Amino acid sequence: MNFLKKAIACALSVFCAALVGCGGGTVSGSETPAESGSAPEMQKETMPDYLETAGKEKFTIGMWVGIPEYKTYTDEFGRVLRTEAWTDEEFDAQYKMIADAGFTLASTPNGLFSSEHIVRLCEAAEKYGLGQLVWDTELNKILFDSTLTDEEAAVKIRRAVVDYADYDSFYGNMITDEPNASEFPRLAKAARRYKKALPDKMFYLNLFPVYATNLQTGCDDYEEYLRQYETLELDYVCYDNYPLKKGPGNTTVLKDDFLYNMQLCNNMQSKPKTWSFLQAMGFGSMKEPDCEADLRLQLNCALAYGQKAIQWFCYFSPGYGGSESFTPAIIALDGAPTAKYDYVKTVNNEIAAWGDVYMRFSLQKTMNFIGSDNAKGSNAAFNYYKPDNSHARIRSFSCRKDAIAGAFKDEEGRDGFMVVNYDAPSSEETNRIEISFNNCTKAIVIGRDGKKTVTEPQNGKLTLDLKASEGAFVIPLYL
Amino acid sequence: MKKILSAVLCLAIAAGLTAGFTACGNNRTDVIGGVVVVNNGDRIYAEGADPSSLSVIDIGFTEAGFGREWLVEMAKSFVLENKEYEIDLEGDPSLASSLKTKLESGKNLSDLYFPLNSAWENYASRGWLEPLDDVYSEKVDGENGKTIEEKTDANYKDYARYKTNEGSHYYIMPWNDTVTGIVYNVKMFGQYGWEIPETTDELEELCKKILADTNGKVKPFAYPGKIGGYFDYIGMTWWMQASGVDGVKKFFEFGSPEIYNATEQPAIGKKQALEEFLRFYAPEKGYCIPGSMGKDHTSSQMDFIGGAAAMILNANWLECEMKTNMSEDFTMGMMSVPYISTAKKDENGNYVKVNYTAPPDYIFIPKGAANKSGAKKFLAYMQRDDMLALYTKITGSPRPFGYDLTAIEGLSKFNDDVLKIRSESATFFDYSRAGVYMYGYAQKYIGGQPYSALIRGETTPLRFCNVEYVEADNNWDDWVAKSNL
Repeated sequence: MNFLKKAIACALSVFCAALVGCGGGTVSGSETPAESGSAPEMQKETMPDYLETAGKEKFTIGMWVGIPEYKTYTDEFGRVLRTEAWTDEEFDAQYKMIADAGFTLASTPNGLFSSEHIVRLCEAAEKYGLGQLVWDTELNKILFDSTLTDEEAAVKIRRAVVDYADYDSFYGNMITDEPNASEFPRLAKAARRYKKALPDKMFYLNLFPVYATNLQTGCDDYEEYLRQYETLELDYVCYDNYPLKKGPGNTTVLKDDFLYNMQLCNNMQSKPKTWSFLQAMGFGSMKEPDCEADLRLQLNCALAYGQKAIQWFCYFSPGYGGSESFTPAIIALDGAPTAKYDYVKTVNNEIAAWGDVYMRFSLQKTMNFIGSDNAKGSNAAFNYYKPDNSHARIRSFSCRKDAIAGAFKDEEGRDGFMVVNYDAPSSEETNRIEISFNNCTKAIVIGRDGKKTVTEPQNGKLTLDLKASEGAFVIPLYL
Repeated sequence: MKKILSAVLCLAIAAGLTAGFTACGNNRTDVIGGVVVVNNGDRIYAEGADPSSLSVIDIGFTEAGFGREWLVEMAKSFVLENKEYEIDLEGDPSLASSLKTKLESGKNLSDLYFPLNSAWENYASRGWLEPLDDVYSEKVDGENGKTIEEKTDANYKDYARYKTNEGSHYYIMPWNDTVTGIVYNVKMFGQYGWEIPETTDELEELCKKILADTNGKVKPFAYPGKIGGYFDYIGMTWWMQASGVDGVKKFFEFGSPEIYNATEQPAIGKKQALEEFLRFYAPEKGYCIPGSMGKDHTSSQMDFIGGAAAMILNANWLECEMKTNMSEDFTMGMMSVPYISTAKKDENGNYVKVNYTAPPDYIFIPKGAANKSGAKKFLAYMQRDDMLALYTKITGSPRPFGYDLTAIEGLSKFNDDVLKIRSESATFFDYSRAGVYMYGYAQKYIGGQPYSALIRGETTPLRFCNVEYVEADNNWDDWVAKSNL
């Protein structure tokens, strides 16, 4: 309980109640308070014991494009000057950078690479305590070979992965990216084969985002695409939706279908764990992230929608130019970190500091709130569906800027709320969020730095001052 | 008409002079000339109207190069004349990217959309767009005036009509009539006595002169390598010069894989255009600002207006887009793309003037919109002569309708250059109703635009064209079959 004493004494940024409301008084009320009901009777709760002991299950942070077999040197026009194999020290340094940046799961590179390279990846991942996804073209051939019986396939699968299957780091195999629904039947068969041979490994594939065309998905609408995906009977869904846009002036905003994509996955009948790709680089007309906030807001939104893993697109540069007009990603083609490395490292390590606590909670629903400063009274990102903003634990919820709040339960039934300032990541304003909880004598607040702070809200009222992109995880307690 | 325009412009000027009051937070409400404007367009309605009783027209528009002032001013004029309406503006620089989600879900829909170029035909064929035949049939300039259909430029009229299961209808209204070219620093050209080149040989001489006269401090070109589309403004124009507008139109009929055969027209012209592109943009030439491959449009345009380059490939929105960043004494002009050596000439031996107008930006009403009648009323209002002139006055850009551009006073040199190029040139924009094109199999450039790869030395003009031809030839029958499903 040492942290409790420290926490109570601590001057907390999230509680700094500098009153900056209109006229210098209190914060004006939100136009969309949570629909309150009468405070339900509830039994006294206990202080969770998981705050002082790190949990085993980490929040998964992955990537697209792992370390290639060769580094590439280019000139200022992006012309390839030469490629070189990594020395052992250089390769090791690349994986150390991955681990230092808070990733938990590495991927294989794009393009062709040798089977020896797969082993090298798994070895390095093992050394740094990372998981390693493997793209193995030989394995994929077996999975989709219709001339084989399932029994024959299982034998061949185990043989195909023999060189790397013994590594603890081996996490699973990357099977395909953005399949059309017409491919689902053969993928379902391949998934069954795979799980029979490698039941503990991940049969990994990534789906299209909600903005894909019907020609791409092969379905009339995205919900149908997700429904058809469920025939694969996998316990997760993974998709990529890249949301960063240049807003008016020098602002950055998120595409308004970013949250909708998350909600549609949460609506899936089989309730799969949701993984998503977030944007860590610019390409084409997509905005280049130029600050931590650009990344943090994406991550915090994923947390508020209960996602179990995020992956950054892209870690290693997938090559420059091409039809997507790629520029350097988190790591340039020569292996040097770009400015985005530090942004990702900061943000990853923020969630790493308390991800084990987050993983103890399961999402119940996500609520969207319009801030009192929002003259329009609406936010396009909230208009795709009508969230249920009522919650038995919340008497009222007000915010100055728009906000989202994921409502969770831990294994023992405690409530948890991931509260996120949904103002633009480029905003310089602070979002004062006031939540009045029912049955709340204490509250644990986990801020951006992962510090767990206990406070005693007066009449259950908690005030959070969240800067752009920030979020806080709140556990109200009835002790 | 001038009187109406003057009145509207007075309103616009008054808007700039009248101080509003600042409400709680960032909400700003201005009351000017009898119109209430909240947050520069979040809500616009007539003063004295009861906001709760108004018919709201929600407009989603691409807030990019042309900004929002033109739309705010049109909306103010509209609500003054139609006090039962409120107009709410929702600006989004990349509106087109989320349109499909909105239309498919039928949720979060505005009443009127202004996206940049994108494949609207797919939206129409899925029954998501409201037919606009009734809007096109309106006589918005009075009973003696023309219908909107009669006012619309012929190319765009053809483009705006599409056959779906509902029949053949107008589904979109054209927004901008793009004019592309080489934008140059007028003051710098005057200072050094640089002449506007007519041919690419003269352009190359100019590039050498720019480097020599400035000791290499000023590069001939800035460019945004991250966004390859701008290169097409020069590449397509050279192709149009070399193959003729009719030749490029023939290509866009996508009749057979032979259109990619670089030993014959129109693909010869494409290859020549790509060769000419490398003449100016190959890194070893030294005509461009180093590091431009990693720049987006904003940073390369800042290079240009900051004087690091004398020229930039761009279009008619550049001045409007950069006006807040330009110093007061900065003047830009636009020159036509100089003629390639193989450019077509007319019977009098004069070069045929062409301009690539780029895939059109457009306007549409979703079939699921809540206020279709209001949206149609505003859409028709926008095509009035005075509103078309107001648009050009504020943005410097023409719209593809018949209206008197000469009556518009106070245009900049850049605007005058744009309008002159437009009036003198035969134009073309990418557009085809061939199945192999509409399904995305056969494309203008198979595998994506070649320009970045050419700069990086990853391909050559001939190799690029040959690969396209092989790809098309190998897959054509399959593409046709799939397109006919």
